[in-house]
Amino acid sequence: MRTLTIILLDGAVFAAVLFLISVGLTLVFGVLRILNVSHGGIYAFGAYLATFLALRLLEIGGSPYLTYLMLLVGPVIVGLIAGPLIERVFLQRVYGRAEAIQLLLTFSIFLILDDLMKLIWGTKPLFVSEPYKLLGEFSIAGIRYSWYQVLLILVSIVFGGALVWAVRGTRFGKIVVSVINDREISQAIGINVNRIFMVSFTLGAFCAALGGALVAPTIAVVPGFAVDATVLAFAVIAIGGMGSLEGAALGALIVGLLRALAVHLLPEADLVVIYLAMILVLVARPQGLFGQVELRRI
Amino acid sequence: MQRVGKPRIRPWLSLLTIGILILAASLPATGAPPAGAPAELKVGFVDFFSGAAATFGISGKNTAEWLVDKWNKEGGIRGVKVKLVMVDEAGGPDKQVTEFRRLVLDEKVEAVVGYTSSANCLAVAPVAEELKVLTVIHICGTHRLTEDRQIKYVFRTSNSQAADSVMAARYVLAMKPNVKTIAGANEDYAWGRDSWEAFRIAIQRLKPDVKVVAELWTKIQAGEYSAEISKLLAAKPDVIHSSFWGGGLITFVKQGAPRGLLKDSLVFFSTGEQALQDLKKDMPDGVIVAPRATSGYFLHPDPDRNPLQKEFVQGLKARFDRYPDYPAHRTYQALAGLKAAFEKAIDQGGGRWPKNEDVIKAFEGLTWQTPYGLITMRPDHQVVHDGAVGLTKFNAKYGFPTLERLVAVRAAEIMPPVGMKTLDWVAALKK
Amino acid sequence: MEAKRLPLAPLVGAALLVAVPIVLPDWMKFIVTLAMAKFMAVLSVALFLRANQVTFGHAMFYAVGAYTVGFGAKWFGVRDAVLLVPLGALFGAAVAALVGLVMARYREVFFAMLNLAFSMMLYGAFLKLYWVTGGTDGLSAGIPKFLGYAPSREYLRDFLYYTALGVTGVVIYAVYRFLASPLGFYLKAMADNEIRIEYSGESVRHVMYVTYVLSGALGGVGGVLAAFTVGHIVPEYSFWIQSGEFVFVALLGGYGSAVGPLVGSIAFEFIRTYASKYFPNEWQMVLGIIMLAIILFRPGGLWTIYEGIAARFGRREREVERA
Repeated sequence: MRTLTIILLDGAVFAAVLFLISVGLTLVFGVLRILNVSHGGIYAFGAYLATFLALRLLEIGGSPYLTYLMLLVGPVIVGLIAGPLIERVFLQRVYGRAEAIQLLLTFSIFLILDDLMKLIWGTKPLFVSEPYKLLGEFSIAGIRYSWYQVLLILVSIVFGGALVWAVRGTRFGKIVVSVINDREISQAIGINVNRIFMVSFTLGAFCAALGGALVAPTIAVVPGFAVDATVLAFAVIAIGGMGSLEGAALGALIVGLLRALAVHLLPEADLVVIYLAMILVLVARPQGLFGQVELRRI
Repeated sequence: MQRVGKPRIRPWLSLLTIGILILAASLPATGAPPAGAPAELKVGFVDFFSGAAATFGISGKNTAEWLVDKWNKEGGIRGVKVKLVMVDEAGGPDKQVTEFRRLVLDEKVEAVVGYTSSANCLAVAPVAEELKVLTVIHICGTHRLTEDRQIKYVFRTSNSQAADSVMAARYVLAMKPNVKTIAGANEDYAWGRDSWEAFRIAIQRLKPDVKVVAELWTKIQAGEYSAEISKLLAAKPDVIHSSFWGGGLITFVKQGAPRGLLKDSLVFFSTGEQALQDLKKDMPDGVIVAPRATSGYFLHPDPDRNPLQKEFVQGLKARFDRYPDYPAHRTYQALAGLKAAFEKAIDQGGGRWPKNEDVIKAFEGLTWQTPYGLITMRPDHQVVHDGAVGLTKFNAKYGFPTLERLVAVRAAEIMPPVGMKTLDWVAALKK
Repeated sequence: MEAKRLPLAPLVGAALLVAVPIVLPDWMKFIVTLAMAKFMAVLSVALFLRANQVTFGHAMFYAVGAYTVGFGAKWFGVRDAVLLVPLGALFGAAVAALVGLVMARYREVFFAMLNLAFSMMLYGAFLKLYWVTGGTDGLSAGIPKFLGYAPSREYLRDFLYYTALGVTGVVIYAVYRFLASPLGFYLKAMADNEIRIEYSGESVRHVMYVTYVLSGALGGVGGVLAAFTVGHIVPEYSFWIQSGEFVFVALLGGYGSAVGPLVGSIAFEFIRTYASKYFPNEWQMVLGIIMLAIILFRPGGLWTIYEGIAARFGRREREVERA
């Protein structure tokens, strides 16, 4: 029972992190039908900028509690710059082109972002601990746990809920859904599809950066950490169903719990469990758990 | 094993050092370059400048740049200036093999120094033999490098990985003689596997009733260790062994320390010294931390008593705002070894610039000076030296934890003798 | 193939390749050997690009080929290149025949993702089975023999080079024949419309499956040659970034023909080498920028530059004839 409690909590914590990493990716895919490989790079940029801002704040003697604010400010800046920039300058030119071209375009941006961060922040590990430590710890099932990580679970739930509401419950969301379903008809009824694409991609970039910023206080931000985040996010949304917000949540939960189970019961499987889950789900249900079957064109 | 309460450097050694320095300083400025010498000695330097391992690859690069600049100001190697050609080690073995060939055949370097990753040093070693190029490995840890095949052109100027683990076992037993349970948190790849296996076998050889209560294998540089930490907290081992490095190590400490992991168990980090200057107050006191099994540490020997060490520590700090860590010390060992081998070869050849083969002959059995002291290249092209290890204690003077109760474990206690395979040696370890 | 109009150019290209060891310095010979090895893996990816399918996991067959060499050397004492090349093709094809049973049902992003998952599983297996595979430290390929003959060190590189060149010739011919076959045309037709293919009586799944097995064999051969050329085999051969590189190179060279990927592979190895020579710290960024430029300004890849010239020449010749 004690072990089960811990496994559930560990799984939920990892799931929260995975959800934050992947929700922006699934959002962008849902609207633009592009698998954005540069997502991981934007995620890392968010982590770098938020950490950098928080550290500067502490350096000039700001209250440690203000570091939480920086975890929001950083992603907003990254989202507002990277989103429109990447979408307007690059992606726009490849809409309707072969999928390979789109993938490769974002892959190139990923390579560039990776080195760009190195040029800006160097190779020294960058990290801030205040947001993580300030909240303290608590005891559960005989072991200590950090409140910040539990907070991440709450934030993921609230953030995911807000996104679902934004897509389902608002006028903007309805427009987005109509664009997803049929671009041409949407255009015909007067929707500015280009603008929707830009806004959606910017929102996706913000999600990526926010994910990075929120995870940053628990890790060391180092060069190259975007690579793993990218492939993890791929796995999560492939399991959940690409383009589905609920799918990203479920995918994250499955992967998070499986990994926690592996660590506690079969540590040797830690590495392969994610890809195993991905293969099993994709073989049984190619479109992922929440994915919609697309009709073939004639 | 020997405690280092008092300075370990004997007075005569300091005198000798000073003597060598004076001699070295007076020589080059006057003499003309050796006959047949090139305009400059081109040396390839390969280390990680990108990716996760850049956190310590840059440390090696900084040392190399500082040291070569210093030499060149002093007149280079017997009047011949050294020029470094930098290559990024990231990108996988096929890129490294390509780059190695380019360094040798296109850039025409006379020697290559570097390689942190075991996969890369194993991949370039046969190429070095094929192209007959003197190659000095500075950090890569796998014992397979010197034991799996005959090497002629490849030298390693520091202990192999097994030394880290055996040193860990010895120090843990000295600190906690009644240890009953151990656990491992290592990354799921060759480095992690080798580190843990050697530690487990060594400690169970030295104290047979020690039990393993958890063996964790994480993804390389995973970034999320909540579950691993929970498992370790629940298992409550007396001692935890971890070979995490760079960002992964910092993340593990950041997530584990607030949850009491480093207090509940005695934790050993084999590469921990490298991250202390980054971790600062996030690393609690009383954790066993090693600069791998490297003898040099920026406070050992005491810079105030050892001029070479002082110059190194102050020079690096002034230029790069960071004290030398173990990659820095190991880079120094490698480059200084190369220089000493060239100089010995020049002397033996009657002042002529040496051929490749002459340098290799000079390198075998060579003893040379490093900030830590003298080290010697064995005939099997492997250096063995003492290893420093200690407990963390926050040091207000530096603003980060430094090592207390520092112990220098003797080379013979942590490395197998010439001709003995590492795995056989560890499996037959005696007190 | 467009090149038909200008039979002279491929001949000149082939002659140049034959002359490489004599003309170019040694390290360039090595780069071209490696490029020819990787070319086969790139070609396996390019086949699917013709059908508008992207794969982010084809490095797995490349890895299968490479580990064929590694296991051969470590466990069976086999290091004859002439034996291992077909063996690598066989194992690559066998793995592809198995994985392909599942994969033939998938398209587009799902195809890309499932390939990724399989290749990462293989990566995990090579990494985990430490005592068999050497883990991340990898396996040594050993020094190859050729039909029992072990060339001395100074000629070894030439033997490898001409072996790779010979295999490249065979592969280009075989793939050219495949692309010219009905199956090859169906593959290209898949990019436009699958259902029409089904109407014509051919099963798209069959086309996919056969192509998949062929691509596995190609990747396997590429892996064998790469393993001998590099000399060391590590799990990264199966990593998703490696797969990404193959797609990257296929686009760089152009996937409209069997020769485009060869041009791309050679260009890529040189670009990568010079990028890291002149930008040791930012070579990745340079690669990214070059790729961006290709995508935005030369979407058909480098090969289209040649095709453009060939087409212009062809037109002029025709005009001359008419006049």
